[in-house]
Amino acid sequence: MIKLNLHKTYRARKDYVSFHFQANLKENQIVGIYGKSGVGKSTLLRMMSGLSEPDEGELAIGNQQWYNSSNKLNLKAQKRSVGFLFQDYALFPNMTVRKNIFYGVEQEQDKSFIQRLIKISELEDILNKYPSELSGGQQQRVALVRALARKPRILLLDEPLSALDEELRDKLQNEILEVKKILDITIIFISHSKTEVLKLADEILVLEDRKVKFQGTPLEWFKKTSKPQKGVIVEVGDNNKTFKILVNGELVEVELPNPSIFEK
Amino acid sequence: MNWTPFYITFKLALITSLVLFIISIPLAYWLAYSKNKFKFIVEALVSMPIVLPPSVLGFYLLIALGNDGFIGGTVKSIFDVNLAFTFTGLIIGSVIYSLPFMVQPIQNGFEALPSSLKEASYTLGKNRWTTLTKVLLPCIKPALLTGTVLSFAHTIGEFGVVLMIGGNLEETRVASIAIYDSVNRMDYDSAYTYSFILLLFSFVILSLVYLVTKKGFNAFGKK
Amino acid sequence: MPVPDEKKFIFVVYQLFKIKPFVRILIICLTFLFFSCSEADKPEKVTVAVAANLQFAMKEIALEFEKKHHIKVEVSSGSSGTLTTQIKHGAPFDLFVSANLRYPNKLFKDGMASKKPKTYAFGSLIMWSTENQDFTDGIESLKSSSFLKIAVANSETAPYGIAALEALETANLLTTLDKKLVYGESVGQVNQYVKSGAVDVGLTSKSVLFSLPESERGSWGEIDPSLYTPIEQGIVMLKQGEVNNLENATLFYDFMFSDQVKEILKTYGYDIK
Repeated sequence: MIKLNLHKTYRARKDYVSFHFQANLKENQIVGIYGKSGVGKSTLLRMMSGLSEPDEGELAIGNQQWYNSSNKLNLKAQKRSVGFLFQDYALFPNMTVRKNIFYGVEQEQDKSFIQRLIKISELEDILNKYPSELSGGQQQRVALVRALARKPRILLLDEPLSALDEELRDKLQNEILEVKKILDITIIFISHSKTEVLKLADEILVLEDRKVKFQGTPLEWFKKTSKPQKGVIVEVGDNNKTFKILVNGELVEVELPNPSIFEK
Repeated sequence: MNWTPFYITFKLALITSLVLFIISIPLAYWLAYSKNKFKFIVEALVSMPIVLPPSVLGFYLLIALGNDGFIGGTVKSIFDVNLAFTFTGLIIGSVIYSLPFMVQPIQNGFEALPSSLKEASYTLGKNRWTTLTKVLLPCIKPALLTGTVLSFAHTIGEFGVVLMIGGNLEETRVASIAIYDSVNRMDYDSAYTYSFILLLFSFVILSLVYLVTKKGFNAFGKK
Repeated sequence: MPVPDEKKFIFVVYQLFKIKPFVRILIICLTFLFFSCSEADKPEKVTVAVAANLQFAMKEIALEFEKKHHIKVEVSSGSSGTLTTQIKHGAPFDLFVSANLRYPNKLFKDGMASKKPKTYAFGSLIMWSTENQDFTDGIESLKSSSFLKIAVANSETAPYGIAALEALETANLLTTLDKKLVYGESVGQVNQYVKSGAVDVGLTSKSVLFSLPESERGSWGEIDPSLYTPIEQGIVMLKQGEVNNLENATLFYDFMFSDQVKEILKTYGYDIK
């Protein structure tokens, strides 16, 4: 169980901007953080990773306390078991792909699963290249594997899919799902795309007005908030439960408990 | 032709640059990353040698390094070593005189790096020292080079400060002072030779730097 | 296992200097440094602070001394006032050969010398130009319109400057010529101004004439000695010389009063009384 209850206040010119996030999340699932720009998605992620310090509150992962303002406890980022995928990937330009990936890895660590990840991400052939020689998609996959190399308890992804074209986006989404299959890990990602959260997230936190507005499955949220829209079913899955639907120019893949929710 | 002034000049510039390299990295790091309210005071102090007339700097240094001075007196009483009019005194003076020329390029180098770079290192479990040495410094090599070359070249050209605190002694007669001295003695042959060699040397060094930093070279390392 | 910080530091420095050509240059520099440092076992020497006007004669004097005693003479010249300030701030000279008595006396009073200064020569003030000028009227010649700029040494720091201004004042020319005056830091600088043509004429020490071959001497005129207080030039042995280098310093001090030196000084236009 991930317990978080975090407050942070920024000074923005003459105003004060206050964020307050409270949620209890189950571990070992994929959580999407969904919301508009400026609502605090990155702030939340940074506070969870230890890169930003909250003003007040508590953050506990299972029985480990990572932050507790009443005890003046603030575990440094280095000591938290997190992997962080930055929006600009933050690959070290002075190191090869291999050196980047193994940068955080200690001598005694088990490295076999890293090899698996490298294979899944199709990075075997570019291990000796430098980040400047890689395409955007390759860079991101390297950053992903690097973030996972230390087998962190939580993987944080800061808008991982927004800069990618559709083909790469699909690829990365599948990779994330693959990763989830082979590692016991909680994956938390930021998105402002409905499609993504529907496809990837087991649970979402919807942020609005700098607070957690909703916690639950993506479908619940969209059922609550979406107006019914006309869509065209493009493809039907084998079990008659998965549909690919074209709605407003967006191709959405959905798994339905009850197909009658959508009109044909 | 007496070559000693060149030995002394070169020795001074080399030692000064080495010392500056070592003390400027932590200082530039602090200036680049600290959020201290009073950072501006330190920044101003570091930049002062650019703006101050060398004779002013030299004058205050002479007072501080002299045997009754704040620094000189203490050193004299503990180590029985003179600072004013010695080569060691010149090093201290040159380090202060060329400080901004090492600190500012390195500071700019650090500031130009995306913050996600060091944050990534932290999330990968590395402390600040490892991050500095394995990630940050390797990524700002051009800035380090710029700083070193600038402070080296700047020290070569030093005159006013050296004249004040080193006088015109054999031990402290750097090339620029030797030129001044030759002219005063109407030994124009030496003056011409010394001047030409210094000019040539500065030109060669700068050309090399332009050649090596392919992306172009702006006085303080900004792109 | 954590690595001790010294090893880390050396590793860092090594990492940074992995650029191979740099390492080569660095090694060369360090070796070079080493060698120039280890000439620390210096030969016997004596350091002398010399007033600018005497630097020409001193060249010869130093040569003779080195021949005779095989002790190196290190000369630093400048205006007497500047040298005095440096000495007060700890400049490590064994002896001070000044252009007057006042500065050495000051040092004596301040305890920087244990014996009173002694006069070794009397200096002469002249007008000097590199062009063919007319000095037949003595100091009055300076009124001529062919002299647009007149260089004198700074009276704050140079005894010859004091004498020059005194002479002009006594001859009632100071106010008239004031606007034409250009100040040099020492007679050395005055000489430089004259030689380079920056000024038309300079009031300087007679010794400058004998530092140049006859063809380059230009023209000059003596300034009536009655117009200025005699330039009594004094020498003093400094504390640093007494304490650290007594034998060599004494040798040089005595040498300055030898007949040999008296002859040299005379050839440079000084008066030995």
